[in-house]
Amino acid sequence: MSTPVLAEKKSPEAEPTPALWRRVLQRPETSIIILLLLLGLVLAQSSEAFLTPSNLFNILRNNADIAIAALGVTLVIIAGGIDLSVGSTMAFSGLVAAMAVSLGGTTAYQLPSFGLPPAVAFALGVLAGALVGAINGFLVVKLRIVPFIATLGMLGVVRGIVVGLTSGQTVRNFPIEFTNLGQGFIGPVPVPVVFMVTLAVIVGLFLAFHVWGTYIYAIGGNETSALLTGLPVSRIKWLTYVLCGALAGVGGVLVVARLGVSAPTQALGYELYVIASAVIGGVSLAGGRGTVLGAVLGAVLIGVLNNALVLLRVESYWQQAFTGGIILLSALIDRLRQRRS
Amino acid sequence: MTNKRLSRREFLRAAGLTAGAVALASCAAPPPAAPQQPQQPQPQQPTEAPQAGTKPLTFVWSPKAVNNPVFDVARRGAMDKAKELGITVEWVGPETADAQKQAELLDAAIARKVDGMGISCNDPDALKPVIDRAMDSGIPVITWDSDSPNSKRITFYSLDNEAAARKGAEIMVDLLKDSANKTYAILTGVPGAQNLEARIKAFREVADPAGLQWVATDPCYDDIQKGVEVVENRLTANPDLAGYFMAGAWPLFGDINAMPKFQEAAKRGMKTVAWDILESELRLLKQGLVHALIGQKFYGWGYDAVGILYDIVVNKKEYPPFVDTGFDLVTTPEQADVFLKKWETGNWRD
Repeated sequence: MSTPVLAEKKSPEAEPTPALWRRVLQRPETSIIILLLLLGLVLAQSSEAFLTPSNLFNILRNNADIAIAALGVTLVIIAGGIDLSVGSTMAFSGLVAAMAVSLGGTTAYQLPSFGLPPAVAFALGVLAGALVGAINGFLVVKLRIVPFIATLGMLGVVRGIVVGLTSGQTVRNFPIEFTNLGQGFIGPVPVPVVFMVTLAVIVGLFLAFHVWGTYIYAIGGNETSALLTGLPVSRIKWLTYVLCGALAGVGGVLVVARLGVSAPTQALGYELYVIASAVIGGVSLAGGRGTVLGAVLGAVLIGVLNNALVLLRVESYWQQAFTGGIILLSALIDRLRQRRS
Repeated sequence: MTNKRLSRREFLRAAGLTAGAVALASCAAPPPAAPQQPQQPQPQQPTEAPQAGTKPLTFVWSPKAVNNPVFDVARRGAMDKAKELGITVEWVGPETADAQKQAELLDAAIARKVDGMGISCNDPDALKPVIDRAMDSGIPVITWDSDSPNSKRITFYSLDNEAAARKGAEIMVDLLKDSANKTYAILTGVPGAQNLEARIKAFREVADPAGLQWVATDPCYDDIQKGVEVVENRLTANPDLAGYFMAGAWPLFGDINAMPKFQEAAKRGMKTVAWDILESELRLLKQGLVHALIGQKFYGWGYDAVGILYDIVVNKKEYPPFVDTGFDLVTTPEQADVFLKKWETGNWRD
């Protein structure tokens, strides 16, 4: 996947143009690329199914929602915050879009459905996500609640609303124009992957070239300095939460379109995958550092891992330990890389 | 100092706001679309109304999680029975399948001195102390769907998981009898869950000696999305799989187009035996993409089991430690239609 998303900001001092290998080592994505290559090599040796285009696109399609949500979380984390409510937001956006677009069902347990055009339903889903993000931003920026607690609270509130509205039931029966958003292809490329790449490019360009992108790094790097310099800290922080909610919303709606069902369990616990994607992609939880490419590669690594566990016949009882181990390995390579550079 | 006080006030304001939102969420109305069930003559269940003048009984009915559609059917069954008996049934369960949270909720019910409890246990051991506390304080407890066998609960109302899985395996053996390829995979939810492990063990005890060749058991952690991913990955690793046993319905909840490889495999002859009789599964069976479904008595978990507890509390009737609900087997489009009708009307009592 080629992406012009670079945007890692470096401290201005030093650097009399270091050697190429050193520059490569300095990139935060290096560790994850090494790991992906190693894993790919092992998988290609052990299963001829791995390197087929259909399998690779399958992996990307299955994890596009996590990658898209990780883009938003990356913005929040770079600005020095955290959003634990992304999983719940994905479910809420998915439910809003599902109820908006559903043609009604055939069971006695059907939730309200409005049969709106897919584009409208999609927009409503994303708006619902942005609304959750706006509330998160309000709690953090205006009420000054620590982001961890504010978004942890919202994780519960939003999930509670989803479960409360549905009573545990699912929403289904969507028009094909809607399910195509998740199941369709443009040429050989699944539509969710097209969404993922497009959004990654946009967010990457925003971070790299828009002045607000620079502000986001500055605020995450040192909020007090940013404030003293006169940057619109509150507005920018709020913006990152709104964008994070909206991007989680896109991910949530795409999953509903792909699965053809909105369930109250959707994306339950996915905040961990989303945040892990960003962090193993080199986004620093301390703020001020990270790239969009890293976050997307993080999500891809999680997808490849899930694929690998099956292709390498890892016993199901051991799979979680295996996943956790690979994430630790990625962190370790990152640590070594930083020491070397 | 002033600053400190101000921020505390701000914090309280936020806390109030969050609490208000939580309260709002928990008060959200149940889905309005459920039509009234046609009144049916009720099959051999106790229906004596409570004697006039006495306080109406209150039972607490606790599912593993309230975010699951099959438990919503159980809730409706419990409420229907409560209305018939003139008692109150409170539906109290954790939002997600969480044993600790369920135990906490039930402890609160014990403190309120309710008249009886029916529990689908998230974990047999984690719920044992709560069940024993309830029984010791004079609150009769039965379990349904998922048991806590070592607790003091009076009876357990469920299908026999092993018997149902053995039947499923016999069907799979029969479906693959003319196939040269005998490989099959198993999909499970959370590894270690007692009921799922019982199903898998019993299935393999019949299938493997009969010549079927087990390839793998993959977990999807009760997640639809993960279920879809796991099945597609499995069919990438084993594209010529001949059979699939799904110990739960997870990936079949959604649109089958989310699983192109599964669809492809089913069309070239892969046979699937799956647990549960959800609407989406019944439609897949009618399309020939799934071949046998094992149905649990969702509605009975509420309707029949409330009747049993009422019998125990009011009529002092004795029950054996296990009451078998039996199970429904769906293998033909005609049988699928019967259950689709039940989903359509919400009438599960026939």
